Amino acid sequence: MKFLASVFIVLTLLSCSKKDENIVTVYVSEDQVFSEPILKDFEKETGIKVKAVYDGEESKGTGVMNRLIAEKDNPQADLYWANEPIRAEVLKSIGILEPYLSKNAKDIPAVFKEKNNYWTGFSARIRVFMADNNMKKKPTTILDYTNPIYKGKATIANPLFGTTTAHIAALFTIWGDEKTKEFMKKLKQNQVTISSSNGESADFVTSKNSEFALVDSDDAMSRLKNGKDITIIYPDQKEHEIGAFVVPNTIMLIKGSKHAKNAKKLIDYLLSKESERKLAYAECAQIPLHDGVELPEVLKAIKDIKVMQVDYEKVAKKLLEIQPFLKEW
Amino acid sequence: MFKQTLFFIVVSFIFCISFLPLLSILTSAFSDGFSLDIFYSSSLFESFKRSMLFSLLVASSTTLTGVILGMILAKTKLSYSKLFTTILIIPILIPPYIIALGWYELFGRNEFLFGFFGTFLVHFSIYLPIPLLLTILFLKQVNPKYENAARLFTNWRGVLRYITLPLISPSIVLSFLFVFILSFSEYSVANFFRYKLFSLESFVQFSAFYDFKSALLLSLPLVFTAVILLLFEQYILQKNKFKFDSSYKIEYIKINKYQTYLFLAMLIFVSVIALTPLLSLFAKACDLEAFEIALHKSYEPLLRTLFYSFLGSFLLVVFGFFAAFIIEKNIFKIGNIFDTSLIALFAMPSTIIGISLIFFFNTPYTNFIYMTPLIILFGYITKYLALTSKITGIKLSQIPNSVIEAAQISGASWSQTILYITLPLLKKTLLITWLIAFIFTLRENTITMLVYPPGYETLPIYIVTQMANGKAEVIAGLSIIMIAAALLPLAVLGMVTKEKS
Repeated sequence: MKFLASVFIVLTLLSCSKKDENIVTVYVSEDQVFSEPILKDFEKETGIKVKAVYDGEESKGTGVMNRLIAEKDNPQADLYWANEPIRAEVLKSIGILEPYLSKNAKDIPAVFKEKNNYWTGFSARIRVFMADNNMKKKPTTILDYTNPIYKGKATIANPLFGTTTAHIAALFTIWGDEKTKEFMKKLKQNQVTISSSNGESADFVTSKNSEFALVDSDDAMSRLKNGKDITIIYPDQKEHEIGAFVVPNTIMLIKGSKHAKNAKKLIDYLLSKESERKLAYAECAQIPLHDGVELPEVLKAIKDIKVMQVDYEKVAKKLLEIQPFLKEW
Repeated sequence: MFKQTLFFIVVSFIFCISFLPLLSILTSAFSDGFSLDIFYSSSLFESFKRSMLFSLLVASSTTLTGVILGMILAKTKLSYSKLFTTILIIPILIPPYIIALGWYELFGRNEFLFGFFGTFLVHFSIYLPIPLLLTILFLKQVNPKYENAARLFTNWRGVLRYITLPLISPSIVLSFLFVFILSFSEYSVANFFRYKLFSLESFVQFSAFYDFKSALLLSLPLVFTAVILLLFEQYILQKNKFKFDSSYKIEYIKINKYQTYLFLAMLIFVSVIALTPLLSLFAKACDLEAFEIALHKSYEPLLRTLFYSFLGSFLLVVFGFFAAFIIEKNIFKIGNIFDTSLIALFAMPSTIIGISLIFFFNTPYTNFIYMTPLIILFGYITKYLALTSKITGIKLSQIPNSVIEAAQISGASWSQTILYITLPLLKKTLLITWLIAFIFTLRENTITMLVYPPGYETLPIYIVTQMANGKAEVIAGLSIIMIAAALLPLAVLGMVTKEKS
């Protein structure tokens, strides 16, 4: 019993001795390999200690979203760095977020910002096709998933999770329910392989198990930089087509944050052109939303891409509505 | 008086850290009413039926194979038996989907692998160590005098059938129970191989819908199934109350002419089941630069993992002993209820345990628990106490009352009989129990992911977060470090016990 009491006291003292107010606690859904270096730079430049909780892939764990929701009454996170805007909308609807307009957000296009400043987008991923270089005729539109010439040759990540869910929900808001459900039905008929994540979809293409897959641009860019034999295609870029679905990172302040001042500094830092430049040059090669940020050669500027015009709030609502359909699908 | 107070404190503590959080989340989730509509789905019933059959198959096959392998490895002088045992334990040390990834690396997107077969193969390899270790533990405690007496009348086949196997039947039943529950609630492998099992239903409610109430509802069939199995286990064990003594001298079966065949068969089995997926994955870790990065990055998470696992497994052994005592001796007349409740916790999905701990302990008054590693330890105790209490309980029930009574007649107090009679007789069991608890706490990542204090991640969590776009070579390196970290303490433990014996 003495030992148990000692363990309890030591662990409690350990927590008390760590009372350092110059900290900020951030929950991060952006992949750790890409987000951690930026947070380390922030620590170095400001002297503010960053305590981070990183997420795993959504399909492999229940991660920080559930933790944020469960912690609502006594929030431990000061801010949340999500890798897409849908979770931000879910958190907004539950009342977990506090509005904050960063001075660095003013040049970011309005479509990538929540109208009441609950969240702000930055450094985006694009939903792209990653195709095997040996393919003779490469896909150009998302409708190619249902083209018989690609029967059994394509992969898509499980639409119940992550950016694929958001993409499908966005299609529902653009095409309407009937056309999108028909498209989903045809996906099955065309024997499209379902993987557990975008990363796995990308691996299916590099391992020649599939000819092409719809993935996030960071999944494709990292494989391209590792010398894989693939091509990246921005889908639906013709005049009459719907454009590519853009998935910006989003940053948001948590209501009741214990270190709000430091949290705002970190938000300003992440929304700066310099952070966007770093994320563009990182392996994830994310596309800056600010105009005039220096870019690596492999990347297109956001103004040069035909972007799917969506309202992320509507997409989030649609996403919750279509979940039972996706689960049964 | 001391005995009653001590048990009251232990029961109250376990109630507060394990049951109260779950009861509070259940009450708050269902206080505003709930609907059972979610269960009225034919696909749900189908996945439940599929899961039942699947877990029965996994539990039966691992138990049967584990008992046979345990017999060969513990009761014969097969060359390199300790090495074989160690290799067979490795799959349970690393997150299941890493093993799944290993098979995928080898066969790619193969129709045969994706679906039932791949899921079964991974479940089989990760849960085989449970019956294997329990069989070895119990075989080492069979008193050889029973076997020697039987050998006067029959050959080894008869001895094993009529003496040894019935004597170790508690471990066989227990293995089946544990493997069934673990396989029934595991979701990551089924998700990887796209095999629709019931465990995915609750996980999807959490991960995709953020719907705690539906996730809770969908976890209840898992709990009820586990409780029914427990009742079945209690019925079987009550019918088979065998006594056996602790002995360090095992009666070996001579295998002279079969040595080579057995060695080759074991080599092939171990290579296919345990080594193949790991080698296919670790072939990537040959990149020295990546391994150096993995070593550098894993240093702090590794130390934390070992610290939490050592503490967690120690606490699990201590509380497991007290819980076993309460169950076996029916203290406060709550033995059966307590046993059933612990099994229910074991069957409860880890996500629900994690969420309940957050809801209950994340308050300004309990920050000293929630913001420290204590919350992780509470998670370990809640999830795995059934494991340590059941293993300890079986051995505890074998200690003859006459031994305790003799000590008491000689004037020994209750605490003296515990210290000088019970604990020494349980020594070997407690050591193996610690080892099993250590393995489970070391690999745990679902509860830890939900509750670990910011900035204090463990190595399994670090591996999970690195799997999102991290370099495959680095992930392979991290997995090797994880295995080495688990095997090193076990090797030290093995050497210490060898010297002592």
